[in-house]
Amino acid sequence: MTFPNTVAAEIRKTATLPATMVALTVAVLGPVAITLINAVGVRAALRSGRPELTAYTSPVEAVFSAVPIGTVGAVVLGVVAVSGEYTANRANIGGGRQITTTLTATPSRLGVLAGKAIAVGLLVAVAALVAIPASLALAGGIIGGDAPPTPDGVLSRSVGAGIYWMLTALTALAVTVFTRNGIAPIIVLVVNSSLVSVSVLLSHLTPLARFLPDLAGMSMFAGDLLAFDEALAPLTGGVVMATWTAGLLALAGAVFRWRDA
Amino acid sequence: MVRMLSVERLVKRRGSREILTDVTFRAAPGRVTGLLGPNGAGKSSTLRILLGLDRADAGTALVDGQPYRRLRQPLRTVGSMLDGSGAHRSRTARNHLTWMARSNGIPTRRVAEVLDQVGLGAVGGTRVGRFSYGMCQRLGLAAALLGEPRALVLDEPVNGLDPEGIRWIRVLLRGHADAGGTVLLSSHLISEVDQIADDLVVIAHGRVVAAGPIREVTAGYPTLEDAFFALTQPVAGGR
Amino acid sequence: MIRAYGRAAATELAKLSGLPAVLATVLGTIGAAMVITGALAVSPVGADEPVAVVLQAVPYLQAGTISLGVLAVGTEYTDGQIHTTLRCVPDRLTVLAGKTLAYLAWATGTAVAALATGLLTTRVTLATRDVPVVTDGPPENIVGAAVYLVLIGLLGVALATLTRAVVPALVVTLSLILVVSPALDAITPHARYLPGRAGGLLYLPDPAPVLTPTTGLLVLLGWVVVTGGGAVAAFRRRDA
Repeated sequence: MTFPNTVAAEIRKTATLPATMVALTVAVLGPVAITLINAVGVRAALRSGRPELTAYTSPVEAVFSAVPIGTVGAVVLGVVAVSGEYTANRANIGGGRQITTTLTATPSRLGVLAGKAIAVGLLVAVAALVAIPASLALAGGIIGGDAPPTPDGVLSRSVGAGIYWMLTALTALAVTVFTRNGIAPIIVLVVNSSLVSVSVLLSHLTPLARFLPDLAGMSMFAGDLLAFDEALAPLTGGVVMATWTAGLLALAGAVFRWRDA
Repeated sequence: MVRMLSVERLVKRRGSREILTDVTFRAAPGRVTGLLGPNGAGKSSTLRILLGLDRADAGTALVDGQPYRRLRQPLRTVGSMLDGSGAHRSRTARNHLTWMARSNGIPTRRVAEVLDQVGLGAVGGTRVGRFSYGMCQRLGLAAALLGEPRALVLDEPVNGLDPEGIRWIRVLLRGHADAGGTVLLSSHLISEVDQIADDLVVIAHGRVVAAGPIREVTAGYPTLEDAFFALTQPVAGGR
Repeated sequence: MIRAYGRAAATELAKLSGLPAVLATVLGTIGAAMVITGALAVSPVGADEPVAVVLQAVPYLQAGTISLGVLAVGTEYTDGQIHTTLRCVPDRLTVLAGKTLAYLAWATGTAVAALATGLLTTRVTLATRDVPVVTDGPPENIVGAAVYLVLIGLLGVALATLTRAVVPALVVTLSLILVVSPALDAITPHARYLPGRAGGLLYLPDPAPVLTPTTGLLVLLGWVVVTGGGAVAAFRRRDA
């Protein structure tokens, strides 16, 4: 079996990129740090008896409003997994790109891409498994007894946020296959990671905007944080975003196969 | 005008490791000086300090008695080339040389002249990213020649050049020195240095192990290659 | 000295115009201004004030000037071009001064063109929808928006100098201003001292005015000076 080897190689290659470590750090420490600041702010507002000072008072919302910074980490991870292959060594601009090594080692284009997708998906899943429970525990600990009762669906929203990160990372990976350069995908996807994304803007224009991948996906975890009325149901949203991601990956596979390295 | 390059008791540390120890040598006008040493010996580090890119922890590296960073229009004094083209891959070769010329007040007609001189006249409008390794080397040489400098400092100039390119650069450097210019080049290719250089500085493990006219350095050895291995190997080396 | 800076600025202008990514960023920013203001102007909840519509687009447009700032410095570190730059102009301060001046020229042009395009798009769109333009908001807010867009990109210049690479500088600057800052804004009043929020007062009125546009500008300039100072110190001290 060569495919497990390909996956193993891609995991090793992606996990050892310095940029990956930075992205994972952002994806884990970013949400935890923002949660910390949010939770301290919420506690201060509750203790001073002025909960109207903050946009929410629940520890859970303190966590989910921090999810976008983790999305940034996921975007970076997906982008560098591909763009790292196309970065020339400084010394030999003519041809010193890792993609030539990768494709001479594993000629199957689809195998390489699938391996990369699995590697990126696993790394993001690990980040989510650490970051979200840690943030929830932290927010609960800080706000503690001052908090209003915990709303329902925390588990499903947590899982939703993790899935949102994974699908975002895979979307970033697919888009970077098209551009072969990290700059444009980083700009567009980081800007769109914010809760005031371009898609939210488009939602004023047409209700169809809720079927855009990020808006659809955000309904998996955002709850009332989404500044947008006609959001899809969480499960529907997840399915819509997954469909987008699968479509983009399929297109990326076709392009990657067809193109010269 | 004399264009003397002098390196005096240079020390450079990276972390706790000393990569250059008391490196001292001169490159004189009218001569081609070859800096010879195995990979990682400290050749490039020495040249980078001479060109003001890195700082020395001790010692000096001077161009005509002045540190490179003090030069107002350095390209008119010292033309240099480091590994590769030194150009962003999405620029055209012409744009790369044009901004370089502008930075030193060099007339822009020189851009076309040096492109022709290094044989890239036909591809001046091509993005550097599409160049082969040898073409990048030629672009690096064009950049070195741009300001019509009296001194040339070249790091591994023949790397990636075809036989015709190697002969061309040999003739060019010889002519430059014979016209009174100074040439300092580094290489790990013994035979190349043997054919080009008048003076030799052999460097190993960050120290100068031999320096002087090529005949003096190789005296007592059948060939330069024998001299090189004897000098650079810690066990057998040293005189 | 002045002449050296002028020459360095001319050099950096030539460099920027040779980069396709810079041209793409400029056109992309102007295009984004057109699309976003167009979308806002046709939306049913849309405003009938062209100035207000354009100002709503500024948070998106800042990605353009930030990218310009990052590219101006960050591309030096691709393919080792920084070695060429420093061999041409060995004085570190002159290099950074030239880069800053060239950035300011490009960013000002981009910001003005994008805002003008936005105003025009809004007016044309509103006219085709037969929406009467009620008032034209105070035009000084448009000037404020242009100043803001140019200044916020200086943070990109500084962070690219510190990180010595395009992608990390983009990620840090964009996520701090577009992701972290709004997340904190929902919860703590101190968020008003973050560069995006404080500078935002140059074009958006504050409902609970603690900072005035002038003090907001000063806070933003403070951020620029601090990060820029760190960048200059690092650039001068480090080996290339």
